[in-house]
Amino acid sequence: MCITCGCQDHSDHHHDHKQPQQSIRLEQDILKINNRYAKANRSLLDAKNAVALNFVSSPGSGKTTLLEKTITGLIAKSLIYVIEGDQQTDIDANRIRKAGADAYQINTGKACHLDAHMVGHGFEHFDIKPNSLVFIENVGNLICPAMFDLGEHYRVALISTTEGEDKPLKYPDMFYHADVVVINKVDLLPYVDFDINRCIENIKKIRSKVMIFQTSAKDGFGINAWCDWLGNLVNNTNRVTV
Amino acid sequence: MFALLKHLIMHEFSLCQSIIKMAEEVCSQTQSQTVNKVFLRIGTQAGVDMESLRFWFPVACKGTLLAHAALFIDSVDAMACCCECKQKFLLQVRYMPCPTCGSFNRDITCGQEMLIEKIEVE
Repeated sequence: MCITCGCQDHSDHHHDHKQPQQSIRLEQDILKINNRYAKANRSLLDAKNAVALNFVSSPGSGKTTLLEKTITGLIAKSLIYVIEGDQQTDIDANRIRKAGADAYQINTGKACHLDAHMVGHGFEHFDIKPNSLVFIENVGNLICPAMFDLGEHYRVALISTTEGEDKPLKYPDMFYHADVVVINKVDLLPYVDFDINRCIENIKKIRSKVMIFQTSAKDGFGINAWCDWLGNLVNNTNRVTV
Repeated sequence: MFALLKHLIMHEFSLCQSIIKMAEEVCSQTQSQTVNKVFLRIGTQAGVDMESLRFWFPVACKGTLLAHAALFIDSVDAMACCCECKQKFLLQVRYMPCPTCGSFNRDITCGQEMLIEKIEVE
């Protein structure tokens, strides 16, 4: 039946039969689809009592070196799985495997961040055992990864002493969403104009309640305290019996 | 303009792709053929560059049901509430303290949203 005039037969008249316009109210988060995948990722991890951390920073802050040192420090006590995100190459995944953890490399091509859909597919390559740690090393970028929930339990932002103590103010979205900030490359403090106390002040201007670690992934400073905190994350959750 | 696709695609393009997917899902549910208008509500502290979003939208929409869609963005000012003195204030930049007591301990109460408010389809 024609919804314009109610007729069944148009042989005796003509009119425009365009479908009427509909205004459909959605009031939905633009990232609804990503968040759906993120929720699924988190549920999968929770079912295994696994804890996931999403590592974000600018390129070159030392994320991969920190993960290598972390794996060395923890692998005897905890199973660790790592998802590596880079535009190209599997260089970082190879470094992680050499350090002793299972790794899967995601190459994002032109995309500047990981998203939950990519990470979910990454999880399919692991047989995630109960009570394990899952590290997601995001693409080096201080802007775009800030808004994409990957399904992690903790967001860890790295800043290195070679970057400038004003970074948190310049890139507030990233630091606002960080549960933990690691200030890395503290071994270089004698050689750079980096005011670590000012940096901490600036971080707290963006997010007043945040856990801060100071590390040198190169020489090991602060790594024990960092690994102790990570180890407790798994120990403190209810253990799943296989 | 399309030469820019050879360069890094920023997250605004990803957001456009998400908008398109959500709108096309609605079209499928309502048997609609075209999306004519998309209305977004985006907070000033959502981390979205509006101009970048406007730029990438028609690019991302090519070949989709939104190929001729007009984009309307309602910008929402960010507001914060001081956890110390309970003062509400306009949050012009993320790192500004409470203008009343100077504390940085504040909650952002609005202005971080990124919503598809409504779409017009036929």
